[in-house]
Amino acid sequence: MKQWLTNILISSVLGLAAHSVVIAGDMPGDSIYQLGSQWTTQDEESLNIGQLKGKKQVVSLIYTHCMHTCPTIVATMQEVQKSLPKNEQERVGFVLISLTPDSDTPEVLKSFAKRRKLDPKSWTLLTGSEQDVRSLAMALNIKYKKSDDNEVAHSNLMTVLDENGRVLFQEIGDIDKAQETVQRIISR
Amino acid sequence: MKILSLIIATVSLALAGASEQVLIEGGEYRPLYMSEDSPMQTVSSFYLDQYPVTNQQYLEFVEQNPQWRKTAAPSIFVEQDYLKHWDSDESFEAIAAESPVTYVSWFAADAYCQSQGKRLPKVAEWELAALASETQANGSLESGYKQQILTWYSKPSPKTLPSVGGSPANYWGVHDLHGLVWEWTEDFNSTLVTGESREDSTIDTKLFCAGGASGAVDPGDYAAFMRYGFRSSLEAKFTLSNLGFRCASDMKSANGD
Repeated sequence: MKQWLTNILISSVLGLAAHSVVIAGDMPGDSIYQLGSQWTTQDEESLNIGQLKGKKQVVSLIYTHCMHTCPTIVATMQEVQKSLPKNEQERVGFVLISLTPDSDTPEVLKSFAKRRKLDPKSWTLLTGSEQDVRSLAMALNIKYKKSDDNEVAHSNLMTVLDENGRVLFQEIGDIDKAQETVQRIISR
Repeated sequence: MKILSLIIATVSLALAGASEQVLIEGGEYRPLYMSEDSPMQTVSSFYLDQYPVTNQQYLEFVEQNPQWRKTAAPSIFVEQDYLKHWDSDESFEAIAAESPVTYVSWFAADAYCQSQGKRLPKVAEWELAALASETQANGSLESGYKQQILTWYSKPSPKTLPSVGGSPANYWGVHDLHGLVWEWTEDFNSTLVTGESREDSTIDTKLFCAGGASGAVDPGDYAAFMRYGFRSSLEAKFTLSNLGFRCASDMKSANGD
């Protein structure tokens, strides 16, 4: 049942090797891909964070049962995607990382993606270990606080990464900011 | 019991060079800014290092983990001042080996604790342990205790920090929680001052100084306010002259389960 957890464990071990490979490349010192952390996608595939390299990425930390702001963040990211010129669309990926990895299994992420009509070609949904979620949040300077009912108060931010995982800018995940975000992505 | 002691002794041996840990019995802790009728936060029993990690101990870590040398650590994990007080990657002649290591980021502290099979203490754990005076688990009941802590907060840190263990142990046998350096906690980024995404009236009040104080459990615990403010101003890659750390462990991992 917890096959994906086992996958994480296995890939974490393998990840040690992958980690050094990723780091050995010309990864800038200020790239969040230096984390080298190992994740599982909505398709139960294992993914080293460094594999996001090569595209600009719009990243948000969310959780799928969030009733308040997360839907707005996701809707804003969708608006950004829609508003990008055709030629830019292939150069920008969209990444959602779960703040409640215990309940956001790959299956849950998959059904969330379907429900929200997130195009699998552009959208990557990730779940991992609590520890890696915390380190990633730390690297992105995102604050969050979990309560006993598995709800999470968190910074309402989208982070835009360049092709090498460096933070280009962060923007509030609000629909009013979508067009501005698009302009800033294009101008980089 | 004997077996348990044996296991603990074995673990201690395996962690030679690491700080000894003591048991902090779990209890209830009321987070700052929560009103008198808000729920208490339960803290499970855990183990905490008796002393902050020293320069000497951190040097041993760097020797075994060269990716954490001051010239090697990636800038996403550490600011430029990382280990600024060290002469080189592996020496610090000018300063005392037994002083707490500072100029270390959260990432560096986290990596150190993980290398010992430990972790950083959570804010609630740290605060629970730091509640204790020399004689009581809850020192706030003791007259003069808060003033003693505040007196330290009002003094600037000396250029060369004193050795760890210079002050008496608290009720649990832990030294230097107050009076030497500030310390990293695992979830310091859970201090939500602004910019969080869910509405929460207890958080909103914190945007106003007086509003925050009026909602707090014990407005007289000014030292706790300072720690709260300090933590909320931190970023994980910060490296500061008076910010160090110590490690903690869960009950089960320290017992070798």
